[in-house]
Amino acid sequence: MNDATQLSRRSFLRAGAALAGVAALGALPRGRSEGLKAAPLPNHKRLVVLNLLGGNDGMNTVYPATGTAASTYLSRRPTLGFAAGAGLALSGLPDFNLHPALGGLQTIWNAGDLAIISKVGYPTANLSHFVSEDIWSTGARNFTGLAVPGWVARYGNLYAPTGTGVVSVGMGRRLDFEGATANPLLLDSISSFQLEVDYTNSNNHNYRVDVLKANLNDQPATGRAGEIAAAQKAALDAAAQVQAAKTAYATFAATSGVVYPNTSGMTWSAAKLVNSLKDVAALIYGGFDTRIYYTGMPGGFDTHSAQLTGHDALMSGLASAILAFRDDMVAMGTWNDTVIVVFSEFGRRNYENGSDGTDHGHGNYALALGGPGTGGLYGDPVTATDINLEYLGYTTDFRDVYKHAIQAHLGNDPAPVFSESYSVTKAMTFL
Amino acid sequence: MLKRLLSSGLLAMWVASVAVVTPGCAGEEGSDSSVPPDEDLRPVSTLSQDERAFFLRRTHFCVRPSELAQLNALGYEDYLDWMLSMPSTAALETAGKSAMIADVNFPGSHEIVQYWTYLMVNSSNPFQEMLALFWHDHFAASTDALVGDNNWWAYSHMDLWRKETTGSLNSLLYKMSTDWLMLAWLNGIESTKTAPNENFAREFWELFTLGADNGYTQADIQECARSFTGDRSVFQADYFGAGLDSRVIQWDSNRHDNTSKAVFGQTVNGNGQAEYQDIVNLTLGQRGTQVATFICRKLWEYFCYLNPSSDLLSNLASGLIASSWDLKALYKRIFMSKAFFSSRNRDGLIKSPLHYHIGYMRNTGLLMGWQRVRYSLEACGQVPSRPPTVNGWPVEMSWLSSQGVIERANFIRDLNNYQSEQPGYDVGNSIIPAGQTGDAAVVDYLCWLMQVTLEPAQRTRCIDYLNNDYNGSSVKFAQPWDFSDATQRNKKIRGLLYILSQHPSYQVR
Repeated sequence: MNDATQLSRRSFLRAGAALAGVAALGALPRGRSEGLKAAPLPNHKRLVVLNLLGGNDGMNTVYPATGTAASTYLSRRPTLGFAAGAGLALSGLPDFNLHPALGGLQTIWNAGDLAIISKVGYPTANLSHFVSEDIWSTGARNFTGLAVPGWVARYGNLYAPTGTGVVSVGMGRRLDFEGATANPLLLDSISSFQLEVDYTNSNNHNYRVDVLKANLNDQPATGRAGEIAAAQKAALDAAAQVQAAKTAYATFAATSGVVYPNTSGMTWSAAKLVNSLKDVAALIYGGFDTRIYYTGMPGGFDTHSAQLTGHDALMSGLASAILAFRDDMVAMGTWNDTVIVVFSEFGRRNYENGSDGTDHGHGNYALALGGPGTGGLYGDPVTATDINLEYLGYTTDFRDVYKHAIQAHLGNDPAPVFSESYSVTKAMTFL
Repeated sequence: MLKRLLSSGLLAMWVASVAVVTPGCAGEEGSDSSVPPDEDLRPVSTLSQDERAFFLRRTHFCVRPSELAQLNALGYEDYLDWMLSMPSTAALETAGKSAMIADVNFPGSHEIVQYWTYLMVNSSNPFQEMLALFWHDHFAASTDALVGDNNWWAYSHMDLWRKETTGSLNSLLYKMSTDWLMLAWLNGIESTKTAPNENFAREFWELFTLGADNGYTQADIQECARSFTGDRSVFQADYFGAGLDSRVIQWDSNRHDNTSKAVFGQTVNGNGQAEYQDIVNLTLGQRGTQVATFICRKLWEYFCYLNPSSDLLSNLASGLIASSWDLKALYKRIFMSKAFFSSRNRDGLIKSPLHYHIGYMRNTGLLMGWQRVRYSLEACGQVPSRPPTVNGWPVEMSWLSSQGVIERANFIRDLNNYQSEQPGYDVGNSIIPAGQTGDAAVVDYLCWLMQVTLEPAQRTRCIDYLNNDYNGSSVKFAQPWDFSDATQRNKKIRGLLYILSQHPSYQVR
């Protein structure tokens, strides 16, 4: 039994949560001290981490369009491969095309705000979704025994130690947040994030809510019940703040002219991203002091079969959601404070399988978008030699991407966030 | 013999005498008195009412007075035997299908969710449904894999977890590997000899039997994937009668790779469909200790506490292997153990949304439209028959994310807000026993029923709540508690249930 399985994933999450709870027993510092403002905090830099859960097929997201790389790609993917010109051109980068459904990203590329980072991964491929996710979530290849398991939690504890310093939207309680000392805000959607009233007796309902809140305040901070009460109190506090932001944003959105894509008919995971990014925009507009927003598309990328149509719907949703969010940030005047990093836990095989799909791989593209960035291709470009392998290797460690964003954009020292050493490293310069 | 000893109370004396006379000497289970209480697998002797209530709370969604009475009447071990015998639930299923599903041959995926929820709420053997949830989470497969009119495949899938999990693990693994929903979910029906799909082979070891990177290689996966080839989904006209077409899964030897494979360094000869069983046998034979440890850990962490010691696991695992993978014996050993009643175990596991929702409905008898229950489960992130990924559902504090906390309160609120869907149901009269209707007695009784532990100030505040109300400006005014006033009773019992259901101690099972 290796280290990764000595402590089961379940215990791991439990242990991390306990740590969060114990540390949260004191006062719960909240992000907003001056009351909510109907505008983003001025000059407040933020990172939006966007996770494509399930292993996005990077090889079809950005594909080779010239030379032996293109011909090798097509021969390994006779059904799934795109011919040159079938997808979208990247001006100034003739060797690669974007997936045909990524029109929104092409627009951002043309504006000089999209960085495409090739062959991103971590040491020693692991083709399991969950091991791979845990590596990305912890920021460590050997993730057992970490005092603070999640990398987002470590960042928050060091540089954004408020209840709203790091926020997750639409992705549940991810390992990335385990060990955070301030009970970070983890919400599914802002519209559902409030206590509903019992209309059969609303006066008495208000009394009930006051009693349950007073009971939570009377709960001793010790033991299991204390840990739970801290999480409950944080949730109730946050709900009030989020509803205020929601109201302010609704007023803004009514006249901003920004249009998010219609989610009816969208694949569920893409619809979720549209709604989550809209919610992130509302929190930003509500003046939240958040440094890292964590969101994404919570599934659908594990395309073992019938990939063409399924992946097309995902790509289309991804691009249209990001483009609308970009427009929203521009309208708020805060695109230049915003960087989005898009990743998936691994890429897929270079060759298609017999089910018109692709199986698990390793190295993959990551994307970085934002007003502060310099668009272009970063890392080592994918070659015919790479494509002849079973799956892409990696020459850029994913932590180099995060470290660069933390240092160059958020202005913090990334070393204590990602303390594990690794030998394959490449300095990033997209910011 | 154990049963007789237990009922006569002799066992307690015998165990005690072993501990006293020969401290450090191996006991019945090979344990000795130096084993920490939370790892002590020796059987318990007598159980208090409080301990029996704890057993129900942990394994039956909640404590129902009628179930405690049944347990008391039979005695603990006989009750375990009864509940593990899985008495027929045919009548429950008939009633559930009739209530939940418009066309029993062609259920919709939402109807499947509501049908399963109905079974959990209405079962007279709630342990069966708690156990089914464990295996459903472990072998997590979703009806999202089904297309068109195939959702009826979910019937046999859910019954696999409800009815086939008290035999041997070997047989369960084989049945799982040929289950239609599983074959669709992990791409078995697309896996052929010319294009074997690795998905099932990988998860068979990583998630179902061994754990990630624990005793298999990528080459093993590729070889094993070739064994799991040959099933296909075929269209059958008039399957349910004239004009009622459907798809079924059939074995097709032409799609099966019948050449030999090398798995774990052993040769697996071409053996047609029987290779599925051969792989199960090979896994249990070559990797038995790992499998037993992995399964025992998962089971222990579901019914007991997280992160059990390796000593405890190896003790349980060797018992499982020695019993020829007898799952019923394993469950019974866990529930009979002293460790199950240890203080560490009683510290509590966080209720998942299904534990919370089903437990509350069984606890209070409050119901509403099944669609509303499903909406709430969706908002909370736990829908039976639709686990989010092959890894199943999250656990523990993950369920108490900011959103999760709010959704729990809103579910209890829904059961108050939609009381028009509970015609004729008087919750106060139904759950509060006669003679316990005074303000303090009501608070104390509901705390027992819901297994809530109030601090003194909280208890005082709850009694105070029964004796007051708010006006439209949220200003408190006196309204002395009167259980006999139907309007006040309905309002305040529901209010008290709402308050207690949000107490930290109600979040644990």
